[in-house]
Amino acid sequence: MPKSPRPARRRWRALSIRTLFLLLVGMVGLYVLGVSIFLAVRMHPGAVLLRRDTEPVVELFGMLNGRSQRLEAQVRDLQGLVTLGPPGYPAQLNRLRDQLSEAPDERSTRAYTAVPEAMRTAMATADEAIARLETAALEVVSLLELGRYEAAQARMMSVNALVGEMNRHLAEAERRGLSDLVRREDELSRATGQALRAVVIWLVVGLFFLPTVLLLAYRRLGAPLRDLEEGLTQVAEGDLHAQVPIRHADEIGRLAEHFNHMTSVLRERAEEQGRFAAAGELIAGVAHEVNNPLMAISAITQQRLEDNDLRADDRQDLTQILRQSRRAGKLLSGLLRFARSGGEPRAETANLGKVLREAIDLVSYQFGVAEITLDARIDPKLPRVMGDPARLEQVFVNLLSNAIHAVRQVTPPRLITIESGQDTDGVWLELTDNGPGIPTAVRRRIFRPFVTTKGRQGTGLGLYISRQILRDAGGEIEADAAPEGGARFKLRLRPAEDADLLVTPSDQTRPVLPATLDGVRILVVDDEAALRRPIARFLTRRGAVVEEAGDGVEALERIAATEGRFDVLLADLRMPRMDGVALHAELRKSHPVLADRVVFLSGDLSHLTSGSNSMRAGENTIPADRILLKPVSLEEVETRLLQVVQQAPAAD
Amino acid sequence: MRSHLPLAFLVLTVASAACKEPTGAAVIGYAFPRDGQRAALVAAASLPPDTTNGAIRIVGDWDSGGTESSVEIARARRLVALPGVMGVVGHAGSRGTLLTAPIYSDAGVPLVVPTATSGRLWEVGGWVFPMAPSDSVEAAFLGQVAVDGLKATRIAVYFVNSAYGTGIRTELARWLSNRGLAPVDEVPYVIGADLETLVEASVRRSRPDLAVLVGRRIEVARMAALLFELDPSIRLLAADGAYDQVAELISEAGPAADSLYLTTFWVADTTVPVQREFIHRYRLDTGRDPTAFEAMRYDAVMVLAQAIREAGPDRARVRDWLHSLGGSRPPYEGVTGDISFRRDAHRTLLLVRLRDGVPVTVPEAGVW
Repeated sequence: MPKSPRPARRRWRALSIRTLFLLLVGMVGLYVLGVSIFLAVRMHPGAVLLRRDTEPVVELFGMLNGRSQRLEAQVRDLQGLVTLGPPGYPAQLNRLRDQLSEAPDERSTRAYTAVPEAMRTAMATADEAIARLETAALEVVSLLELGRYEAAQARMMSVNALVGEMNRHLAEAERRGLSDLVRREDELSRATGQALRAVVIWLVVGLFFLPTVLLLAYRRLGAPLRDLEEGLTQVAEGDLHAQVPIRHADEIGRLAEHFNHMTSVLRERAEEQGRFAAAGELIAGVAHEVNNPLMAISAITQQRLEDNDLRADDRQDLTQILRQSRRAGKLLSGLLRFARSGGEPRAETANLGKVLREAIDLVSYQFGVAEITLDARIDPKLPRVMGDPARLEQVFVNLLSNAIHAVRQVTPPRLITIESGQDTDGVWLELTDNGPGIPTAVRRRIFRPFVTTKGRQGTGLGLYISRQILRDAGGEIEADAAPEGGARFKLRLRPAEDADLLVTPSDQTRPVLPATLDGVRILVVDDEAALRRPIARFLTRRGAVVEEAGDGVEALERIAATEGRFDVLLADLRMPRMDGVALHAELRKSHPVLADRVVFLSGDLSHLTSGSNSMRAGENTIPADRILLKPVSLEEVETRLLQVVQQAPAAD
Repeated sequence: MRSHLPLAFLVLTVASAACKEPTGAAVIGYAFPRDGQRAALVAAASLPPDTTNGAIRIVGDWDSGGTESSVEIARARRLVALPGVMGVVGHAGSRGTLLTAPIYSDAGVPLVVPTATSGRLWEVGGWVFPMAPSDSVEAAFLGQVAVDGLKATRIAVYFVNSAYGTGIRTELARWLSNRGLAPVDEVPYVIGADLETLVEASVRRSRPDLAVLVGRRIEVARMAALLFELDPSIRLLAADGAYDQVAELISEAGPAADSLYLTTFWVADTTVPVQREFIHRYRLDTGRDPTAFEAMRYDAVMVLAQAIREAGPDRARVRDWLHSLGGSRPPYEGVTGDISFRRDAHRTLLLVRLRDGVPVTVPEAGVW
């Protein structure tokens, strides 16, 4: 019991999976970038300001400090010289003077413009104090140089006072510097704390959105994929009613749409195949029922025509009856053959011309109805080609049906042309029509499954299967546009390896037969008296000694009564009580020699399964080459019986 | 001081503007100590009538004196806080200007610097506009006068220990070094130093034939007098800081005044039409000619006022206008010459001697 298809949910326009993926990646990228930028914005200015403002402070303070320390050492030296008094030490004085006259570091001027304003005044004041001290010390040096020791000693007191003043200003500058540094560090620390708190908030927000993103991804990807997987499982289990809900109009949505279309096509195809199979069985049954009367009509008519006393107009009527009955029989044979063509392919060769003619016969009734002109030029010298004739016939029927459908769409003249030939690459065949042609967009995909130009009238599988059949036979098929418009299919077939010429097997194996059936004992077994009796009368006239039986049981009785003195048996396959196959099986047990001399007659083989050289019905098998398919002419029956008599060993 | 009605009116205008917050007017801040306000008053008198009616006001910082670092910084803070301030003219020296330049840059207030010479002023940002030649240019001029003009071989440098003095001293030493020379002595000093001792010791030990004096008028005049007294043969060459009021200089330098070569940016010359009105106003007001510093400050105020008039009361546009001088716009024609703030623009440097109390330009300077 197939599961009922789930209704497809309402589709809503959505972003494609690729866009969604890019969007998600972009969002994550933006999130990370946002956090980074936020941190940079919050932390960087504080750090830059701290560095920018601290560097010149440190540099300038370092210069002032170094200058003051050197100056203090010079003052100490100077104090020593002043204390020593005359005669003085010119070398030391010169050194001290040079040191005191040294220009301040040029960098200090530049640094003043960079230090924070709060620091600038204190440092500049300290700088001025240093300059005053330098000048005062230089004055002492000058006084010593001039030999004014007492004045130098007195000036030294003011120098010492200036040292104290310098240190006081430096300490103030240092205090302000430290205070400023601490303030900036506090600011940076506050900014760092705020940034960290903000980052934590960012992360919490991110953690909150992560499940949302995952849920979104699962809903957009996980659930649709799970639906598809379930659908595929259903199909694998044979449920072709499986339908997948289409949640979004994205890639997976389109995949689900294709899946649903494929299952519906497969389902229709399966149903169609089921109907075909039933129709095939029906055709086989009908054919069997129709074949017997047809063959009876044909046999009786043929017998009547052998009457030399017939009037001319009666002979003409009977001839017409015989021709029409044979035509009907031929059509039935074609239908039966086409219905049987779905089995496993058999590795054999085919007469391309014959196969093509039989395919044309099957669809020929449509040519008249639709005013279609068929121009078929089959090269009679074509070699046999590789392939199962029945399956190749299916290919041609398919191509012809497509062509008929195509030309019906245009106004007459409607033309289908078939040309064939042979070249170094093998056998080729072209089928062209003057229909509307195959749209360019479809042409590239025309051999793919489920591609059709017939809308809902086509399954989209005909050309796909045709190509598979041809490829199995080593051939190929292509489609293009015909030069005058319409469609053109080019088929290429592989010639049979041992077939350089068109030679039929019957030509090769036709044995030398005796002229007549004179004296040949024949048992005709058929439940249809209307068929059995004309055959018996025909064979009797051909010189045979003929007995009749209504079924297998009666035939065995006759054989037993005559101690098996028959040269050959002609037995119908379908009979009440005991059919032909069962009769053959019994003969194999009781009269094995006679079992090898049975020719079977049948209008329907659908109840048999094919073997390599035999046909099987249950446990029993019969040789496939002994079966004559109805309708068959009486001459063919005679010929076949003669073959069996000639090939078989002597009768018991 | 003689009094004149128009000038009294201007004094009142500026003074009252300094005492209370001006409203609705574009303000030019004037960042000089009390004794340097004269140029602002004359400039205010020179402004067209529409500006004197309140469109542009000149506000000096009357409440503080001196040029110490703390004073200069406090002055700058007050000036940038003035409502409607479109620019400031100042400060008096290189040191004060360098210390306050970041305040103007941070506040986005154009600072026109009339007399400071430190080369560092060109490196403190786009809001500072130096008018005077840089110390490297002036040092080269001094070196050329000393070596090529006065043929000195033993050069001693006496310099005020500030950004101005150390700048010129350093650049001069560099220039001399390029000529294969070196100063025989370098003597730093501060205001209030014992110049007699410093100079006497220096002369005794180095025996210079030329002394380069870098500093204010008072100290330079004193050192010139001392040097002349110690050795009259020593040639005396002063940097621009000394060329202030000539009468005081002669009085303070005594006999040395006639031996003194003075470097200056400008000399009053009534034969030059553009100077005539300006000098006339000064004479009416003070009974003397304007000094070079006063002329430079006057031009600084006038160029800033012109910028405000043309660019409108918008500090960024005033800054751009000042930058465009000598570029997309012709230089401003001031009493001290063509004014442009491009670094490569020509800036006047003159060499002056005093003859009978009158400054006389030495034409050979710059040709040597």
